[in-house]
Amino acid sequence: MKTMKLVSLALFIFLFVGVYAQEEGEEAQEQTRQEGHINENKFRQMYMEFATPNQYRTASGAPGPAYYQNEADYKINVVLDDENSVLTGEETITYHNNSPQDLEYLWVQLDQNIRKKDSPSLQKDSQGLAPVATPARFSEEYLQKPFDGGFNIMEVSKNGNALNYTINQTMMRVDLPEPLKSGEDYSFNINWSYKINNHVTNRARSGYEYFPEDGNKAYVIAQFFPRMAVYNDVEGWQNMQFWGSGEFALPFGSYDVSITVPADHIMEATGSLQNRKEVYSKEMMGRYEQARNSYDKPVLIVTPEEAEKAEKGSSNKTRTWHYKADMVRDFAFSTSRKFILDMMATDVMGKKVMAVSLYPKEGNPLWEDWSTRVVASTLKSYSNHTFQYPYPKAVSVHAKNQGMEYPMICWNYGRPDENGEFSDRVKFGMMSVIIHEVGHNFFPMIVNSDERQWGWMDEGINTFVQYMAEQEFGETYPEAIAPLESYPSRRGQPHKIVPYMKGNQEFIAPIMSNPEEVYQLGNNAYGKPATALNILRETVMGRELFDHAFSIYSHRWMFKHPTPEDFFRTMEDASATDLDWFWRGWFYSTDNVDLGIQEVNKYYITDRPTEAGKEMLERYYSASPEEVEALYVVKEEDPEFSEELKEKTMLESSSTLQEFVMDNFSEEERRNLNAPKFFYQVTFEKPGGLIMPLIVEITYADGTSEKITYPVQIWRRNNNQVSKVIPTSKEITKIVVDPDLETADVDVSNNAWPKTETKNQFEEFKANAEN
Amino acid sequence: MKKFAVLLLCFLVFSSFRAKKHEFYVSVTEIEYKEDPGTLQIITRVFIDDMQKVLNKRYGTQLSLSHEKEEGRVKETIEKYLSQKLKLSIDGNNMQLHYLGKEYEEDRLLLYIEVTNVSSFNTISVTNAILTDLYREQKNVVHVEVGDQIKSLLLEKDREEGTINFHG
Repeated sequence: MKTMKLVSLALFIFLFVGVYAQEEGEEAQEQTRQEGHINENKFRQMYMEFATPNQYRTASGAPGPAYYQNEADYKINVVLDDENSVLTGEETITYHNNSPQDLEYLWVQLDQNIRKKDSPSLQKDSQGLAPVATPARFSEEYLQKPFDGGFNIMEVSKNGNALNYTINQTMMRVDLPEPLKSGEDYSFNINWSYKINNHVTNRARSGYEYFPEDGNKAYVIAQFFPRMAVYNDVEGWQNMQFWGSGEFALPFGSYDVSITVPADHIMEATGSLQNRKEVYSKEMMGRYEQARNSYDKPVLIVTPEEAEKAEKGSSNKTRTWHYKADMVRDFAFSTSRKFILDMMATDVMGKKVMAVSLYPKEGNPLWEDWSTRVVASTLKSYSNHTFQYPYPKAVSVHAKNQGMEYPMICWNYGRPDENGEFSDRVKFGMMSVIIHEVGHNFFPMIVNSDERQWGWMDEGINTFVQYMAEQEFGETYPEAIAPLESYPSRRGQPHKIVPYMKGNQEFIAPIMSNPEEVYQLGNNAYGKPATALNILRETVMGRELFDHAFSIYSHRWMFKHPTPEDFFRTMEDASATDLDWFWRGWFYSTDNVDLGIQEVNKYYITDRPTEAGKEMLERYYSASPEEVEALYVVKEEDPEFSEELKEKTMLESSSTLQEFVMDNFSEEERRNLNAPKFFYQVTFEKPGGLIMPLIVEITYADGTSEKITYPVQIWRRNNNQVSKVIPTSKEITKIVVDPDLETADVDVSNNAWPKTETKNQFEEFKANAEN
Repeated sequence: MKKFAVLLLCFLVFSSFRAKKHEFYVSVTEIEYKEDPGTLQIITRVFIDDMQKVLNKRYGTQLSLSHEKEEGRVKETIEKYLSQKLKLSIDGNNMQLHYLGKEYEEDRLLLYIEVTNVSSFNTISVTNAILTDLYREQKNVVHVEVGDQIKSLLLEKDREEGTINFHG
């Protein structure tokens, strides 16, 4: 008599469905020759997509032993002609070639050239003539001449000798008489001027706003000087043109900047003010000292009354403000006689940082209440999630329609109406944009990614940290969000990205796309990556593993230039979590998540041979039930099912199992054995392209419930459907996939068993309205 | 359809440059066709403050729209505005739109509209001039979902109507 190990047979039976399905496939194979295929498994590693690790950037995601970065130091003098809105400047750039190569030429960025009247960027979009148009639009598009901006380069020289240069759109190649040797420095001068644009009518990341009531301008000035391009191991010279959407790639360096403006202007800028006593009045100095010790509320350095008095005048004299900054990748400033200025000290992990706000009276009453407090809260939150904020200050400047970041200073929108009233949208819009732009100090000002190539690396990662910082701001200042209980973040929560991810595929691009080429930059570079990282933290990795790895990434690449691979690799390397499937799905494709339940079958155990069991024994072991000790499973619908199975325990239903247990376990061990009564086989389906862990909530007849998370690896052998057996002593009444909407599942109508009549959002609303 | 695809594409690229950090003046309308029982389910998302502003300016009312408190004849006024600004025709026949009500979602207002007795169709034309009377820059994005297909329109002040072809 053939004897078989009962346990292996029991296992064998549980695998039955899977094996049977494969067997059918093999039979089909015999009839037609199938084509082969390459590895298409969703878990295959990213060797094809990732750059090969090397001495500069290692497979662990850390900078390698040969990692280098070039630096650019600037000494700049600029003069603002307020009346004509013209900026004139001269600079000495000292470029440090830390690369192992000699450089025959240097590339300098001329971003203002995007506003030259013949700039190709004005013609980059497709156009169409509408059958009918408003005169205003028609005039703007076809009658008015474009703004005549762009750099006027007056001199490029070294020690008084002109250097050869060639300008290609927004990039200028400076030819060196001798190659700049590896390890050596090169200093040269550039003199220039440009006409400043009105950023309200001529949308841009810098310019001025004109206030017709008092005739003044408020300037937010950036990209105002020829800036060195980045040279590195990844791109060589990153001299991809500035077309408008892809932002900036800039090397670190030291800045020494003198800015001459009308004597009645109030200014803030990147860096530490060097001549505060010369440019501040005695009162301002006294208030400044007070602000340096005020940790709980902002101190007005320039009051609204003083600012309103100043905006009625217009000084003919000038004053020069002198700033210095180290380890920054850029420099920006804001100046106007309209400005109110307030400051507050903030304790950032034991270090004093000044939180500063600069705004015209038009920003009040909102700005005096919240801007500086939001800046302070943001610095603390971000530092906790990354590294201690290394700069001495962070400034939030109010500029209409602007949301733009520079080192230590940023421009932010959010303006009350003429009556000083504002909606929640304006208030939370202002708070969110300040958190976002101040947060950019961390990404990309310090973790200095290449924005020209990868918009998501700063915008997406920053929007993700912004989400956490917003929630923390709401906890710190409940009065700011009342009557809401938590901060109304626009981005970050999984369900908020669903409309984008389930949308028209014609207008969706993978996250790993250049900002110039995507259709919806907001969702592409901000919303989706932020949500993906939030899901990675909350659902895939867990906070402990994620937060550690994210902190490692931030520290490793602080004051350096990371690539996407450096981020992806570090997150895996520091957590022992294989995430190639996650990057491939969420960052390299436009697939979306749709998990569901296909069917649920309830089984009982019996020792009475079933037809299916007999057939299987015959097929695989050429054995009959009499020859083996086996147990069998029956579904309620099967002919072999009898009602008594429902009443009996598993051991009562199967004497073979009972005997096995008696023979193999001591009495004490027997007491600890599970005693399941029901076996549910649940088949899960995955119509969506993305794989995700299967989060399943099971509700039992006694009203209790439990949550089981099957690892994402469950999809590694079958990308379409998988089954799990749930043994239980209690009857199951309900099974729900992703009960807390953690995965951005785009279709939840297949998420529950028994299938409930699921209503979409519209039907839900209609049903509620009718009640 | 090609034309609209190109049009939408250039808008999306262009707008991302113009309104860098924030989507200004955009409404999104989702129209889903349910073959059984033959209805169009329409959800239009607009910003609450824009809607309040346009209604009060247009009709000289003092409506207040917010989660916490609502003042004035809100339902009637929204209904009136929609009847003037949102129009649909199916295979050339103008359809009757039924405004069911609204919901607040953070800073947005969701308007629920239904069209009944719609048998399967080839073309749908949408006129959406919501808020274009308040802002010249207003863009109204319309997604129409029929079965597995989603097609989109971008409508704005000078192009308030668009037509989508299905089955072809």
